[in-house]
Parts: sequence; C-alpha cells; structure tokens
Amino acid sequence: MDSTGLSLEQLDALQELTNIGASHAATALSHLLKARVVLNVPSVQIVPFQKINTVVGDPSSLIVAVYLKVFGDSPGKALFLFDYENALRIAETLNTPCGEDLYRDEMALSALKEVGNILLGSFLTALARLTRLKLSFSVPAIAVDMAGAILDAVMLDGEYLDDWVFIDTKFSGNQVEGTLAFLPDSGTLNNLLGALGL
Amino acid sequence: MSAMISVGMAEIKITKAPHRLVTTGLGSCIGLCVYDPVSKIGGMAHIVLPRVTSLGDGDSGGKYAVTAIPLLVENMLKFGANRYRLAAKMAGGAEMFSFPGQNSVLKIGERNAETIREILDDAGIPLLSQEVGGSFGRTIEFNTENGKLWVRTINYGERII
Repeated sequence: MDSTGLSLEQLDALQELTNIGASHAATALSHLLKARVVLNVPSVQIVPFQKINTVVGDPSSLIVAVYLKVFGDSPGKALFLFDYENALRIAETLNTPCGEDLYRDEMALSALKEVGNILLGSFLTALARLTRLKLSFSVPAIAVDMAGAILDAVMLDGEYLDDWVFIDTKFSGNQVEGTLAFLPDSGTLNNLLGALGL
Repeated sequence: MSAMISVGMAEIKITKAPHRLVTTGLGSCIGLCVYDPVSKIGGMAHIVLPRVTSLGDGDSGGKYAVTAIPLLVENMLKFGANRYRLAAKMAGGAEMFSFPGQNSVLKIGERNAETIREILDDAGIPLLSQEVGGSFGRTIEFNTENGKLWVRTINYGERII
C-alpha cells in the first residue's frame, strides 16, 4: 500500500489500463492532427478535495478544458486539458484559427470541443472494452478559464466532496500537449478494479 | 507592510488591516467576505457547497455554507470584531460548463449563493454587494483597509465591489 491506499498490483493495473486507453486516444489525435503524439506513463494519485483546484498546477493559469460526464458501470468524469497557447495552435491546425478571444470564437471552440470528444471518446471506449464494463458518456462541454475554477466546478458537479482518484497522462509532441484525466465517482473505483479481477 | 493571505478551499481566515485576503480561481465555490469597518477586521470563507451532503461528515468546518458562516462570525468576534457592525460581500458561484438541457435546479453555484444569502439574512448580516453567477472563474482580493473586494476574471474584465 502507498499513500493512495491502493496495492501496487492495483496501481499497476490502473496505470496499464490508462496507458492502453490513452494510446487509443493518442492514435486518434495523431490522425486528426497528422502529427506525432507521445504519451508519458500515467500517474494515479489520490487528491484530497481541498487540493483539487491545484492538481494541474497554478489555479490562476489559463487553460482550455473539455469535459464529459461518464455514466454506466464505472461512472465518473473525464477531462482533457490543453494549455491555452497549445489550444490556439490546434485550432489553427484544424483550419479554425482564432485571435486572442478564443472564449467567444464559436468555430474554434467547437473544433477543440470535438478534439476533446474524440480523444476522451476513444479513451473511454478502450476502457470499456478492456474491462467489459458498460460505459456511456454525455456530449462534451468546453471552458476557457482559470484552471482552479474549472476543476472546482467539475468536482462540484455531483455535489459530494471526497478525496478524488485522479488518473492522468500527458500527451506531448511537436503540435500538441495536454492532460487526459479520469476521475471515478466516489466509491466506483472498485467497479473498475473489480472488472480487472483485483 | 500589507501581507496577502491565501484562503484555500474550505478554509476560513481572519485578519485585520493592512492585510489582504486572497482566493484564486473560484468556479462554483464562493468567496464570502465579512468585515467590521471600525476595527478593520476582515474574514474570508472559501465555501464549497450549501450544506452537508454525505452522512457522517463530522469535520465539516469551512466546506459548507451552513457551517462555515457561523464559524467565520465566531472567529471574527474572538479576533475582536463587533457583531453589530458586520457586513458581507461575496463573489463566485459560476456555472463553468453548460450541457444542453441541464435543469437549472441543479446549478450548484446559484444554490451556493442562494443559501449564503438566506443564512446572512437570518443572522442579520447585511450583504452589501455581490458578484456571482455567470460562466467564468474569478480571483478575489479583499482589502481590510477599506472593505473593498477586487474581483478579477480572465475574459470578463475586473470590478471592485
């Protein structure tokens, strides 16, 4: 057991699961942007709710977040976070260049929302296939704002406070950088682990 | 020298002039400031939810409006503030994401603000000004020298309330 309260075997399995799921997302992304995308080793952390607004760094930093609610056997929240400059570059690659006012550029927002949707969709589909769990998800929503504000709102969507299992992996490459995060709802991590026979 | 005192999620902090209380990146949460203009004692609570939602949550402290506000007031009185001079300001309570067809009853930011208004009203603490709702994050800084609350956003400018 370490600070996450999970056994090493469980941590390994979650990391591996995330890694495979994220590879599917990376492949989708690399096709979409026609660029090489590299994944790092996923990290699994238990984040106390008071720290959720700083889990990806400075709460005042400007980021772009695509958010899907996950339903079914392992309900939770799935997020893809781009840093702002990178989101602008991706929007440009997708022929929806925008100026400084990304937050009100409907075309660019919609393109980025779709990128997030494809990424998170392929991640969740792979997750469901590997675990044989039934998962479905909402349409994507997007926000361009302070990291802290985005994360507190995602946490409060559902209205319970709990320590969060934050499973994330970073994408990098010459065109794209971002963080994919999956946050199982309170108590539902066991469904995921159970499906893996752990 | 005026110090910046940072108030994290579910925290309550009290100070007096010339210091400032700061909360960075409020989304659906609310930063509630209470102030005694004579002693220049100010307090801030970073409130997360209206009321207790999970059973057996003993250590509720600053998380919930219903427990945070009495605690904030009590701590201010201990610090030397006068109960009858207290007045409040608040900011936050946004809805950062919108999903089509989502029922407004579920909007947590709005419910946070509503609950805080009710509790302040019951406690007889006037709410002097507020900057709540919308779909954007806020960083707030409360100046105990003059009781002004500076609200900054990324896409929607800044205001002093």
